[in-house]
Amino acid sequence: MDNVDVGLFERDWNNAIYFFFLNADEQIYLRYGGRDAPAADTYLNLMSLELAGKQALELHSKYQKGELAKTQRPASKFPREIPLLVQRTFANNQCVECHLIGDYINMHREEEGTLDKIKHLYRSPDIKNIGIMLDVPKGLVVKEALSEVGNAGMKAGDRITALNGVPVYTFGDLQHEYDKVDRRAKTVRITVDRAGQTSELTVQLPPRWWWTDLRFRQSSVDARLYFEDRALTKEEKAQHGLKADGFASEVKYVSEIARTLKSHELKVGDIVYGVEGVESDEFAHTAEVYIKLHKLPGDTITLNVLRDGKKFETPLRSFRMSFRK
Amino acid sequence: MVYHRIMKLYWALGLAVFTTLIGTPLRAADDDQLGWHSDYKKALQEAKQTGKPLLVEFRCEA
Repeated sequence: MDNVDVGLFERDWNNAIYFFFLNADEQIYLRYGGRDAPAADTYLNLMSLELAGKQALELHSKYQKGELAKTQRPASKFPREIPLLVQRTFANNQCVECHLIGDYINMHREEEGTLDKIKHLYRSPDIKNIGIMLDVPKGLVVKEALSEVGNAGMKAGDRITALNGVPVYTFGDLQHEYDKVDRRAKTVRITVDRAGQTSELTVQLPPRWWWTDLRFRQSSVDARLYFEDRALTKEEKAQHGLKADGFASEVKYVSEIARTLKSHELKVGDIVYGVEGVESDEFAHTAEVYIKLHKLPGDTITLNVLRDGKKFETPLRSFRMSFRK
Repeated sequence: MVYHRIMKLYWALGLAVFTTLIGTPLRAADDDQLGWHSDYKKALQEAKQTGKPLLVEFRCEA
């Protein structure tokens, strides 16, 4: 990877396979790749790869005829310009695993104070969060249009052609453009082709539309907490006398690592209703997400916990994930 | 189409071993026929000379 221009080929670096179709002027026609949290191959399929190749050849033909406008080439950036990668990987003659590119860039952002967690940690928001279910072998043809996109007028059989006005040809393109959307945005514009007719739909974005399960990003810079939780329902919050708009959540899993590291004493069934007295947040829907968004790995945090009807405080020490497997 | 593949290199016992996540039988046959480049600059040069587009593949332990 030493000489690969990761500026030109910028992507979510937690993908195991990714393709770019481009020309000799380094104009990228389209991308093929992308994933969701549950699986690396949810959106990978030989038929859709073939379709992407055909679309790329059509775009290339247009480019050669001067029918396709040139776009600004992304600024170059090389792995050797990422100091932590040089110090920890190059210097040890170890291979540059793709995820290290993204992980070390985020570590530098963290050091510089420029890490925007809802954007940089929660990369590649899941299109299913707004109801887009693709017919994967057919590329960007919609199989089902649920929730927000259904309300906006999208229908099964539509083909998505642009996001916020930027043409998209593949799921890789769609996910890449969707990732650029401001996490505080309230709407997104999606253009669809329906039997040859083009429509632009304004889709309302729900709270935490950007949220994804980070567990597959094994070396990400988020604080390791060694418990998992689920948001309480409004009814459950009312039953326990907790804030309706709070991030109170029930502990559903405690890792054995927590016992080994003595990082906390939470038990399954505990309700974490606050973190250092804070009970609600603009972005977090659970205590786990609140801590990941607002605390650093290594921080010791006081949790406000409800157990067997009694409220108490208990410490939690977070950890940073080792980057080497 | 000019093909360029950027693969992860495993260094073990002083030997560089290429790895892949794609089905081996299909890949082995296609690799021979397609003539993948492992040097991006050479692939780019060929694309310039032939007017063909490039397919760049990244395979990595993510």
